[in-house]
Amino acid sequence: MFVVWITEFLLYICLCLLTGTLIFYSLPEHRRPNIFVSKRLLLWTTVGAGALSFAPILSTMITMSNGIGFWTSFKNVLFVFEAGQAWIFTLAMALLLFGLIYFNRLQNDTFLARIGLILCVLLIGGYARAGHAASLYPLAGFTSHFFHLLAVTIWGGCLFVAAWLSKDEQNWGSFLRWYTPLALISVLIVLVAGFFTMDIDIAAPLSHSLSSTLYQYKQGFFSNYGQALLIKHLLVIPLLLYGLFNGFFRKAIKRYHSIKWARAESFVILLIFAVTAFMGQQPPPHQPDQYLNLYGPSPLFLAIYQKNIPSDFVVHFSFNVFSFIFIDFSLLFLLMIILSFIKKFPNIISLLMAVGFLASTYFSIMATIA
Amino acid sequence: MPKRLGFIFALLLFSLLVPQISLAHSELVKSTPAQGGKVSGPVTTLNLEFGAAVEEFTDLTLTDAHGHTYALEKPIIKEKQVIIMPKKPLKEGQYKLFWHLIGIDTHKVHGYLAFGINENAPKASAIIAANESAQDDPVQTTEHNHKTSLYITMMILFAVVICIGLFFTLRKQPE
Repeated sequence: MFVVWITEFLLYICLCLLTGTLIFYSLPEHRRPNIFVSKRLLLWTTVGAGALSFAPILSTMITMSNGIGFWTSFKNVLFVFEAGQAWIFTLAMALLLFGLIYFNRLQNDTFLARIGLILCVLLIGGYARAGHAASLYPLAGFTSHFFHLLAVTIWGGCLFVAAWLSKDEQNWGSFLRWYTPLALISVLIVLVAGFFTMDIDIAAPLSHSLSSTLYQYKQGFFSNYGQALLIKHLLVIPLLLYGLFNGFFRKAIKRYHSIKWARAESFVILLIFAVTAFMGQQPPPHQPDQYLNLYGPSPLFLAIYQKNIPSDFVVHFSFNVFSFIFIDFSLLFLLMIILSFIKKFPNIISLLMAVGFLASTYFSIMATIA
Repeated sequence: MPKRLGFIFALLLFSLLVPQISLAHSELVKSTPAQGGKVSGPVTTLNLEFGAAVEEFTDLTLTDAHGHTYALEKPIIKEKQVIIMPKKPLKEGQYKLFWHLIGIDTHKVHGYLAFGINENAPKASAIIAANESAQDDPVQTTEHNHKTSLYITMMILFAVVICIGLFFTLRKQPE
């Protein structure tokens, strides 16, 4: 489980770097930031995308091999399971992409870079096909998960490459001219598609109305999955704040250091990736009452809640003095993040404020659970 | 360009509105004997119906209230339908069937079925599988003090971090 957590995290980074670089290469040079991506790095990320997406499949094979032998389980998972078949497709796309990058100089060839970008999108499609949502609702689940992933890799990918592989801030303005609207649309798609993916992933069997989703979300708080989902959602708030400054308010601030703040934003995305990778390895709480009996509550939840949790546990919210104090802290942290741009804090201190916001908001919600 | 994006967005929304029928998770939807139900014995077969097709059971255990385990035949799996036959008919008592299965979607699912033969089914609170250690933590008595001290520690920590922020706000800006 732990290994798959790490490989999934690395996989997200590979997909982002790959998509970001190929988007930049698909554009004429005056439109992209002054980036340098070595061919070797690009080849490694392609290998990473193909190989790391195999980790969850391998984990299933090992679980299943108990009793029937590894070879039978290997054949079963790879050729019978939809996730296995989807991975074969992902692998094929990764191999084609590897060949394309290996034999060509994509940075000077917008046409080939666009073909590479199409292969990359197909590769992401293969990965989404193997996901939880797609296996539950082949069409709607796949579509929402795919668009969620695609929008994240477009948004995060361009950001990662621009933030970490730019040589200087040359062309930054003309880069932002197309990137800001693209990022805005991506964020909207991430949120909408993310909501639908969540609706499918945590829904009770045979029911996925809005009220049932909200109920499942609340009831799922005691599970590892629910805790991770909550933390992920809280992290979106500072991320959007960074995005707002990087995209819109930068002109209002004198001597705005674009690369520095783009790096800060990318760190928040990395945190979200880490939480998502963890969440993907946890069983979703489809049936909260059975879940408690079978898997037990999340250790993090138990550490803060500090009461025995009965199997018919219902999450109730009631505000108390602690929840209000923690909310005040959250607001202060948000103010500090805003000040960090204006008063030019070092990167790391600004991120510390973002983590502070996450922790205090998390505690205010946990304190509210009666 | 905005037109094309609008089209993609409309496509995305449309695809989400497509009626979502039947297919669900590999969790128990229906069974005979029913979940928490009482039947008259002896019982020779257990019929389970799952929300999605079952690929493989990695663990399947039938126990009674005294903790005895009953030998089972290899389960017969027909997509969502699973038939489980104990090697000997089950006589009266309280039974719990636990499983750990892999659905066609490769997801690993734990589940259980509790039922009684000529007796009431075991209560849900009596069914504890994975979380025994988590459940019997004797934290009840001191829980309140611990919680308050945890909150106060966190508040002090947050205040310190805010002070760090204030320090950077008030310092002279580097040129």
